[in-house]
Amino acid sequence: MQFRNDGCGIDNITRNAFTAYLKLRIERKRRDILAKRARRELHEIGTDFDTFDVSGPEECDPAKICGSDPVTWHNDRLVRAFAALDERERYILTARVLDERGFDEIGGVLGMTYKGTASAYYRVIGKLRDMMKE
Amino acid sequence: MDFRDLLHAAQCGDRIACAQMLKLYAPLLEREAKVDGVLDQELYSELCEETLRAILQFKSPEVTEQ
Repeated sequence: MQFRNDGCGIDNITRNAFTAYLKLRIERKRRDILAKRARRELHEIGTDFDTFDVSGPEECDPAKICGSDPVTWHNDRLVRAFAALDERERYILTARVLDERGFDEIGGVLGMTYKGTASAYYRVIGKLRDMMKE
Repeated sequence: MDFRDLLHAAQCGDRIACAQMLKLYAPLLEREAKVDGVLDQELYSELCEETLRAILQFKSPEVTEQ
């Protein structure tokens, strides 16, 4: 078991000085990291899309969908709009935006052509935009 | 090896000395790396890095022993 030293002697003085210096740096670093995380979490939206309800926008509660305190979700319009999309539209959007996959690859999975997938993608974007304006 | 020698060795790049310093301050780092009572590994790693930086940047006080 370590005991605090008596502060006498050059070794103890150096140790105490370093410990005080380190404590200050650690506390500041911790504060900065946690503050940065909190700022990032304000703008992030969860990607657990399986929990989204497709029954309609009026029945979509962002807290229920995203499984967290509704106060933390500042863009609930986007959450509702996203929940109103059908499964195919959601897949196209997430595959393109989050996974950064090409239209030909997405089309290959859905059995669509490149042009068809691209058109569907831009239709989904327009649909989301219109729903968020409401 | 006393603390001053250990610190000096760590500042000179002795990896074993650095590891010993981290071990010495592990309880402080573990305490500060807890979030809501749970140890956050990512935060702990960041604090270990900060400790190593502090070791390199710390200047020992010039004291004449009485």
